[in-house]
Amino acid sequence: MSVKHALLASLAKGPMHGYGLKSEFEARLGQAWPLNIGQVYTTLARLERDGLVEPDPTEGVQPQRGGEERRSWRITEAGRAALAEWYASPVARDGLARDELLVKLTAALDAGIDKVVEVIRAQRTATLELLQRHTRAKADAARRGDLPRLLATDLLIAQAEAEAAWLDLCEARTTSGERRPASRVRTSEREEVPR
Amino acid sequence: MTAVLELERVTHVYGSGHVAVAALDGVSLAVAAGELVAVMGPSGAGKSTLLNLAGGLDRPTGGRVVVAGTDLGRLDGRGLAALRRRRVGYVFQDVNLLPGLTAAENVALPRELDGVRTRDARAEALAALELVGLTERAGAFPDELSGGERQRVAIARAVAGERVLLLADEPTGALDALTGEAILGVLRARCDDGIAGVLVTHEARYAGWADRVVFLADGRVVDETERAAPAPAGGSPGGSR
Amino acid sequence: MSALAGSRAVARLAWRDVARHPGRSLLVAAVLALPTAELASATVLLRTSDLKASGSFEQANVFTLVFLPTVAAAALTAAAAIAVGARRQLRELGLLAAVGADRRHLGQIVLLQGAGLGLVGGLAGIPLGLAVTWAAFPVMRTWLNPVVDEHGASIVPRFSVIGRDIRWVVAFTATVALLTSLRPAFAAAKVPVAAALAGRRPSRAARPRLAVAGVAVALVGLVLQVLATYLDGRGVLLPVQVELLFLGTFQGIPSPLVWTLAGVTMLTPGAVALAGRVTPQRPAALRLAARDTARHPGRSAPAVAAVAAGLGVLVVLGSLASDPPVAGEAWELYALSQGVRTPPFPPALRLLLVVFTAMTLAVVLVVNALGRAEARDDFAVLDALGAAPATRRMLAAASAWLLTELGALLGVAAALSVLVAQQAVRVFAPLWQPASLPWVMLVLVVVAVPAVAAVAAAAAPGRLPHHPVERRPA
Repeated sequence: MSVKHALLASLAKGPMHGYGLKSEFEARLGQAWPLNIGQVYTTLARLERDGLVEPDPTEGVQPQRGGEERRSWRITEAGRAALAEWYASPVARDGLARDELLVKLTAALDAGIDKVVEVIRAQRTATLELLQRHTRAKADAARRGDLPRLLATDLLIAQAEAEAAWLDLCEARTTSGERRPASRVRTSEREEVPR
Repeated sequence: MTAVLELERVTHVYGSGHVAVAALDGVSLAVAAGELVAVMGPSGAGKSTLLNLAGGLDRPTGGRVVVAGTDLGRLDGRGLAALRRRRVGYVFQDVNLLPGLTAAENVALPRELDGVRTRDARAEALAALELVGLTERAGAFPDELSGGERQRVAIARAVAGERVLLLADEPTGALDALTGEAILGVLRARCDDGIAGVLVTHEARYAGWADRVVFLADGRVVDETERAAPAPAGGSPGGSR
Repeated sequence: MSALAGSRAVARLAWRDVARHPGRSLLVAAVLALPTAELASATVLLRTSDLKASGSFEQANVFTLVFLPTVAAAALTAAAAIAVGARRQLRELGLLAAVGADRRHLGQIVLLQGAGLGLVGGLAGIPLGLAVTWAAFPVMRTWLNPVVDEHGASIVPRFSVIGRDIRWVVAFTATVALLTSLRPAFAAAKVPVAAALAGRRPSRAARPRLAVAGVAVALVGLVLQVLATYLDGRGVLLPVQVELLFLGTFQGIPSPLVWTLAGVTMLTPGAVALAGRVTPQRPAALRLAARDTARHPGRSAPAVAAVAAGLGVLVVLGSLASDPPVAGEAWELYALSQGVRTPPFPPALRLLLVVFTAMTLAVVLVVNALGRAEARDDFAVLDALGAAPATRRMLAAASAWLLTELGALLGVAAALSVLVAQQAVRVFAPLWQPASLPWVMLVLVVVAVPAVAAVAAAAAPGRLPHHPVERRPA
């Protein structure tokens, strides 16, 4: 999780102290990810160790209980360079996000096609229900003009949509051997044609 | 809550003998006023057939189709045409508008065919165009409008007058994501105003706008989402990372 | 709801569609202007020659021989043009049905389009025909029998136009325009909506009954021909009205020919379908052309019929021109008793030959132009696949050749059957002298005319469609 780059981005605008960094981070993501202040200090310490930030002398050190609360920080040149590189490099998407679902599907495959279709359909229905909720949230965010929130819900919708599309594909692949073009009409002897 | 559209165990079969194919096999569906129902499924699942039957463009071989309390099976060809002029509106994926008529004339067409005076029909058309935000393009011809604008005109035509049911067959198919979203916004607004809507789509993002999503496969309903509860106030985006 | 509900919208739709396709619209209008011009001309000529003196035979002969086939060809060509337009309208008609148009509305729109165009074209033909007649009057005058006054002196014919006649011409044109539009209008009303919306054309079921009826009608013509020749050769004189109505004169050739040509017209859908099935594998252009022709019977069948009408009459005229018929002693006796001169037909005959050849070629070119318009999409695909322009030319030439050849074969069959029937009856009709069979003409019609049509089509295969420019704002 790129908390450190987010902090660098904040500091690139100007020096700031720990609590300021925390509130800015949370505001940018629409209160969606509360950030632990301890996490902020740990990250700052690491950044300082790597030479990307340094204490800002202007505020001066004011010893308080807990020690570092009022210390102000500023970005270094190396920090700016690291930030620029972060913006320029695409985020690596390695691995599979929803691998639990993949595990479930492959297990169901062993159990038989019917089982797989069952799992697929149940998951897809749930995904669509999630999509419906996200869409309402998005309409809400759009109405309030809350752009970060809008972006976040757009991402969730895109992911849910991708998953639904993938599930459609799974269904088609697993049943293509079995499925006929359309269900047969029942014959007059009323024998049920298996699907 | 009375249903505006009701399909009762509807079956539609093509061909005969041992090459008969059931496009729809015992499908039941009810759509209430103000409700938007999305229908999804692979090609050949029967989605377009369902839409054709709902508006009387075709007759089911079994079951009943009821629109606004009228059993479509009791109507002849002219009665069905009248239904489409007054109560039911269609929106298709690309060809929707007649190229020789302006936007306003396209919207007014069903009412004019019904015998309404041109002036009155035109007034209704302008009101409908205002609902979809296209008042200033009323005099444009379809080849002067963008894809999104054309779809909005089609929607205006489908809801003008006292329509109660809107049937949309992949209305966003030819549009980019942002324009598609605008179209869904318009559809949603019309349904919120009281129209019952059926939306056939293969894109889940648009199905997400519906109150309910119905899945068709091989002519049957295989799944259905619950009616979506409204989103919590400042809710978390969820998901796992 | 009254029957007129929505008629304003219907009229607007019909008019806008006509205005959006000016080329095709002008074509249909022009096609019906020609027979109207002829009819206007004929009314003037008929008035200026003395019907009583010359006998109605000859004038009616000319009338039947020239006018009916021309009208038939024009109506058929117009039908082909309308068929092309109707196919393109299929999607629109489905859409109209989806937004609530009755079958009645759909039929009305197509009817208005065709009838309106035909009426406009027809009305334009009247001044055209009158102008041409007036300009050529000094020449035409010499072909007509002069009016003779009570002293036996000839009165010089004058060019004059009678209002009553012109109204009759207008009524006629309106009727033809309406009749030509009826079939497409009915077809439009019956369009299966769901298929039309999906872009699927309804498949045309083969109608063998039509072919059978066609053969029957043609046989009626042959029987009439046999009858006429037999009676004529036996010296039997029939009342004028009977002669005109069923047998015609001039050895009965015109009216039986009309029957056989009508029969042949009914055979054209079957002929076109057959051509699609019995095509040879090579050349490929011919095979493609045959399949294409068979798949569009609405356009191809009337076109073939129009060509057959023109060429059939041409062959018969050829038989008269190559060996002007001796009318038979009985006719001559009758003519003398009435104080009538033998009509000086031959010079006019040669003119008619030219006119009919030109008309047939015009029909072929018109239909080709229509076919090209429809084939534009196919040509675009061919172009994308890298086909040379020569391919387009070959396809156009093959289509033109096939249509004309089918028409030629059918027309020749009709004409020959009539002429041969005459020959066969000779045995029983000693007084009758048959016209000789026009062998040179036959070969020309069957070989040369289609070749000319093919060359003409190859010379102008049509532009490629430029890819539709999107005029919509970004």
